[in-house]
Amino acid sequence: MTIILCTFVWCLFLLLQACHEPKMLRYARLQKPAWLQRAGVFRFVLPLVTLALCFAERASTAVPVWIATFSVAGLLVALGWAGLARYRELLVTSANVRAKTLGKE
Amino acid sequence: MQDTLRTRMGWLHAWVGFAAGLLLFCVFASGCLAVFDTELTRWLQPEAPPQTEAFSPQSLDHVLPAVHDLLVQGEKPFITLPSARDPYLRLEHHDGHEFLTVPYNPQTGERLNVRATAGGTFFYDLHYTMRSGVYGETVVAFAGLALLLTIGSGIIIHLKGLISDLMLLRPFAARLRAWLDVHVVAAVVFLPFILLMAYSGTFIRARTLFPPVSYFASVENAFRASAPSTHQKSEKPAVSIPSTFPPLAPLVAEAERTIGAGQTGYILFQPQNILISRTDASGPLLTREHVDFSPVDGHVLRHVLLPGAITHTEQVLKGLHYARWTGAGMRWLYFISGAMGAVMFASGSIIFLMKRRRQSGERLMFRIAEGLAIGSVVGLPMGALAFFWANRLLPVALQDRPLAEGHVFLAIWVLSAVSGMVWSLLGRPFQGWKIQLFCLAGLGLFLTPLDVVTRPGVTFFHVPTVFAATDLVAFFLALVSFQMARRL
Repeated sequence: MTIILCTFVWCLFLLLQACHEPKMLRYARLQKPAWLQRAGVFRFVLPLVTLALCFAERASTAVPVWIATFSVAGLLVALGWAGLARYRELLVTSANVRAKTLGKE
Repeated sequence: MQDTLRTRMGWLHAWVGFAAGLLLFCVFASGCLAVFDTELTRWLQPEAPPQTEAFSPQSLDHVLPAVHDLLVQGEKPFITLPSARDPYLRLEHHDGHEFLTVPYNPQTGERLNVRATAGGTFFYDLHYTMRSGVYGETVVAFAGLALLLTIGSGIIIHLKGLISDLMLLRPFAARLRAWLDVHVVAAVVFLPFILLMAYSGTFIRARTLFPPVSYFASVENAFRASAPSTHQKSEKPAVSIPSTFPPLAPLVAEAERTIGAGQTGYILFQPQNILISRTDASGPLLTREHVDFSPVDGHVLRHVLLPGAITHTEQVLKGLHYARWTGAGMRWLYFISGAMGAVMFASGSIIFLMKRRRQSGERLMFRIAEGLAIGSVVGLPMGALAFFWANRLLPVALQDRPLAEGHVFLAIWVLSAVSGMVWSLLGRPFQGWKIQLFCLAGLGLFLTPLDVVTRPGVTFFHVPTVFAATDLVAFFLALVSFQMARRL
């Protein structure tokens, strides 16, 4: 249960991190939302929350669990972001095609 | 200055990475299977019932005649006590390659009638020796050093984009770009795990890297020791073996008073003593603390717990590397991380070949390299799946069945390597990749039907977890292989 919870919190942190990276935003054709400015510093609390969760579960194994859940969350966010980028790319492409068709008409 | 350093590191990263990477792919792939060695043994012995009765210490005495027989044969048998991970009482011994295991009913001590198999420890032996004894162990240890070098150079190359490209995966971009992203995501995101495994693995095998005798003597020893240990079995032990052993239940109770209740894991039998040691599941510190008893009358001989900072460092690194203390969740994290390590090596090798195809595509050395890459990246998973197929299809009464399973694995792997090499030398490497990936997909896809057909007592709606998980992983591997073959 702790592993799932930690992975979820890490995913949240990494998503926020991705939203702060111009390269990631460009790739997914997204604009940086205004509310993210306020959440900027807040996101760095999340890794500490996961660490606290890991320590609460079992202190002797907290660090390996913390690191491993970060890696799995990183993979999940990378795959999810790639899917989102592909979806947005198709969306933009089809919108462009439709606009061109309407323009010709 | 920095660009020069990056360029130089790029050269080092590419060449050392490719040379050691093909072997390290096998090490990581077999390692991630070895994490589930006990569970895989249960898949490989489908006759054992999924549910068992509670453990009774009195049942241990029923295993003693078999223990005695193994001791007479010159083996070092040990009993593994039931645990949350494995509900059976198991009698095990090392045959020179893997731990052969016979399960017993934990309540009655009655031997369970199951097929002989190399079991999940086959992959454990493959992981750290490549089934070549001390010689293989030395090669793998040096590959571990090469891995540390590759990681260091990789970090320097990618330092600028370490944070910004952390999760940048573009699978639909140009082929080289897509593979680079796969390589970077697998390497950077799983860097802590890969670094830990590389460091702890090399540390554990430090003795083979820095032998106490000269390198020449250790190489001689390596070749001498890599021969199968069958000749040792005929040797009579120097100390006489007692004809009967004392009842084990009081010994276990006595050991638990010292080690802790429920903390005993193994009972090792030697002609001169009986060792009851702490379970590896007790924590990340792999102490192997044990209480020794006399095999004649069962009195306590000594309590052994190695102290000291260096010993503790070794125990922690071993504990973290072997992951025997972990629950199912953490074990899956190790498995996924190990699999991503293998993906890192596979993608790195593919990038190496893609970058050099145009300039060197016609050269013999390039073709040999690509043939080796096919044999390693696709051949090993094919061999592993063939091992599972062999376990279910070889006759149960076959003589030396565990060895036959290993031979099937090696035969398929060699066949894959030879076939990959032939296609590559003929100048049609894509054909080689494609055919083998389709074969891999087929082996993985049909493993579930094979399991359902050949497993006794299978019901459609009740699938025990170890079987379902193994079949699902094989199915997932088949899907990935199929997709890769389709996109080639």
